[in-house]
Amino acid sequence: MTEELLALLPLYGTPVLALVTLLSCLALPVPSSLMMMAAGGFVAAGELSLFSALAAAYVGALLGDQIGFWIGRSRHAYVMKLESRDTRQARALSRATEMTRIHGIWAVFLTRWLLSPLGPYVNLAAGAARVKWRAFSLGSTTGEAVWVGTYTAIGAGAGQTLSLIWPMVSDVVGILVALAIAGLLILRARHLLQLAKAMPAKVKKKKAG
Amino acid sequence: MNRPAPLRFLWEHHKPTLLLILAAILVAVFFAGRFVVHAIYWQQVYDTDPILEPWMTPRYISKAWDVPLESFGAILDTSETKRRPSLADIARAQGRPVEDLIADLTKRLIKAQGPKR
Repeated sequence: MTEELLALLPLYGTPVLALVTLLSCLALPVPSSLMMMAAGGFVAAGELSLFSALAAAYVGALLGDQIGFWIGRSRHAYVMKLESRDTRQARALSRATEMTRIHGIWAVFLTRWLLSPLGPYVNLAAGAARVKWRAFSLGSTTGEAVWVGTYTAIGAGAGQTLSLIWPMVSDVVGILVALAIAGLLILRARHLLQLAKAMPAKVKKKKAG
Repeated sequence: MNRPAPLRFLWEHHKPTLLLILAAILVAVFFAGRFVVHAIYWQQVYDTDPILEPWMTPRYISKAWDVPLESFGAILDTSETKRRPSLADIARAQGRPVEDLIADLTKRLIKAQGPKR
């Protein structure tokens, strides 16, 4: 499918780029980073204009982010209902959404470019966790600018090595995403250990029973 | 302090969290390994033949391999009137498989690039 999508780029130009970045922000499996790198190559060759390539990718990505955010937001009443139950899971969920509201802007910013495969899910989570629209949009506009700019620049500079650089770039992104998830889980494990330290008897009793 | 070691405690009471941490680290190691394989592949193919794809356009190839468009000569002659004809479009207009065109173009490209550094 990648080859066919790349073939659409010289055929239809930058609107394809906007469509692909929009779809990728909705978790559809399209190779948007590769498309932006190829677009960078076409820009360097004078086949596409720099401005229209950047603008198309950027506008598509911003629209995709907003759609994801509002889909998540449309479910926020349900999340609040879950949070209002008096169970341990409800309290954990409530804590998670609160953390998202406090630190969400950084999650949004970093998952636009450095950890881009996580982006679509962060959009939904940010909406559902009632992150303020302005904070989400600030993270989205700044992060997507870095994403679009970086990949287009790599593509413009890659020249004949594009097909060799691309798999290495996706490997690095894979390493970063896996390490970020491991890091978050380690933070959770540390939190669980601290809880156990605070009330060891209760935890042991509960687990045993 | 008779609390069990943190890892043992997590293993006994929070197995899913510990297993997910392990899985995430293994995924990171997998991608690191793939990165090394790709880097070695790069080293091996860097000085070999150029890799042309059907979606590339003549100007893209000319810029990427730093070879003037004229050096491809009649290979790219076509009645194709698209703004950015790709190799696939040109091959179709010439009525031959794109692999043929890519093979011819690759030969011309190697010749135009001159002796390898």
